[in-house]
Amino acid sequence: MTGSRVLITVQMPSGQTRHAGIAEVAAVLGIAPEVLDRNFGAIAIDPSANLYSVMIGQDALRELSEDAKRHVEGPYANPKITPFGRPD
Amino acid sequence: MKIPVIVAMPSQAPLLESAMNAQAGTPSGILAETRIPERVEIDPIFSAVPIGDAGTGTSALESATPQSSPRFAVRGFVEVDDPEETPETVEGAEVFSDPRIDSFITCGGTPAVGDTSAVSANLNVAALHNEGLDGTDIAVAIVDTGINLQHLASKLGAMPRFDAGNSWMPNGLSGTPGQMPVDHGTMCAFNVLVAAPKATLLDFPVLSGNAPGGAAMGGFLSVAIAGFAQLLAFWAVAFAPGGANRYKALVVNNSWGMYHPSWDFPPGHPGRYSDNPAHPFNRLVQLLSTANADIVFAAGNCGANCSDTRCQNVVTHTITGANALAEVITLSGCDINDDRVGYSSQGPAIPGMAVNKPDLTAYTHFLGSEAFGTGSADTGTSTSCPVTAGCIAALRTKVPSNTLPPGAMKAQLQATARQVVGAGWNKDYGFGIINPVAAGQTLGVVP
Repeated sequence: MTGSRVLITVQMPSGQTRHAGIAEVAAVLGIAPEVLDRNFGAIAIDPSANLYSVMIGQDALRELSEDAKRHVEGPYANPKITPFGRPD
Repeated sequence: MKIPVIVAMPSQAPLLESAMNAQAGTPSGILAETRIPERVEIDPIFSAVPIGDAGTGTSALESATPQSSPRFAVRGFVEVDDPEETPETVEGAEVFSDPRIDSFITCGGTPAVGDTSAVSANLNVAALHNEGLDGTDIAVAIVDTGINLQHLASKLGAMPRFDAGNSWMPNGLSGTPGQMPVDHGTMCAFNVLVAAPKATLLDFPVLSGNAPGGAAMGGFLSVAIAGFAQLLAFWAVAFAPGGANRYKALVVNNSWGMYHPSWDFPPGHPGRYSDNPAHPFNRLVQLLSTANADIVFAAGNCGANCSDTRCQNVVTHTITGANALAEVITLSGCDINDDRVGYSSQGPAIPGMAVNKPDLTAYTHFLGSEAFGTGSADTGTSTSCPVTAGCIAALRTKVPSNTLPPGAMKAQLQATARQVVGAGWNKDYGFGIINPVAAGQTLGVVP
């Protein structure tokens, strides 16, 4: 995967009984698995609701089919976070 | 308007008697027969103070005794239209300013105020431990920069309990859980163990994920998403039918967050994190809470008195994101004298989230882990957060999360907190300073 990545959620089809991986999420989006960030993976945000989070390049997100976009929400912010210790 | 002043008056018998009475330990205030300049409204409670010779600035010690002093200071008020018109003298007596003074508030550069033993005494952890409330069989996840067990062992005199199998490392981060560089996460772990020395630590170094060399520069929220998903999976398995239910409760410590809104998407963006409970990370946190994990977050270090420079002078609505979720316990910080530290972020939280944040206050800015070097204080709301996580872990030893859900535990802690500035919630202390013994008494596990 190349380019700037963004965070999205993907609503997987109901009835899915096992944890989805990159390949299953990519299939729902109609793209090759390597388009998604393999390092981040497919993370179950709400397993009972079949809601997963993945990271995808901005260009690839724009190029998703209209059908695929029906399963997508986002992009969501992925802000920098830092410890709340040692105030200066 | 009335201006408070100190008036240096020439000696007279009633002033001498007033000073002598005060020195003898039987203060009488200013005696009624004292001759007072007409323009001065005297404070009758304040006894005369011998101040020695006039004007030299180097009063000899002997001239400052009541018997020898040619002048006495009394406290009072003068009436003026404008403070700049305050007279320099009244009937020949010099008039000095009596400004309001206060203790210096604890800020980032202030040396440590007290130490771990003072914190233990304030929390009365001995009373908890006497009842077996020590964190046994409680998992505490340190979502931070990583834990260094050797440093903890050197400070504590014994190796803390650690669950390597259920700890986690972000993809691409080198290192081993429990053997991370001594840093912020080690400080947090140390402070959990103040109240819960037998809690089992889990290492989730999300803040080292994207930092070169593993330094504690922070990371990105996506790494925390991955870490929380792992925590959720671990916890769900732990409580699954037939699962390895080795823990009575899971407490999750989060001494981190965003310092400035510019780190987020702009206001109004539907994917924003700060004020959006539907953001994927906020959803995960809510889900983990629903699964009965106690989740604590630091309020932040953007308090109005001396905010961290990274706050860029933004000191309102600075409790944002998951730190401002209703499902978590959000911690402000005070020193061991119960004084709020000046950098501790104040409420209310950002609109759109649970606005009555912080929830509680706990101790910080004391000599503890020395994770940042010998003599360095454990500071920030980063410290008050794990102090609280430890208190919860201690209570959970006999109050498992399947008998008292996190929301009910939070309500108990709020109801029993020691109030500092009046009843109910306030923007500085939340519902007050955490009082684990009082909470334990209410829960029936402390006599």
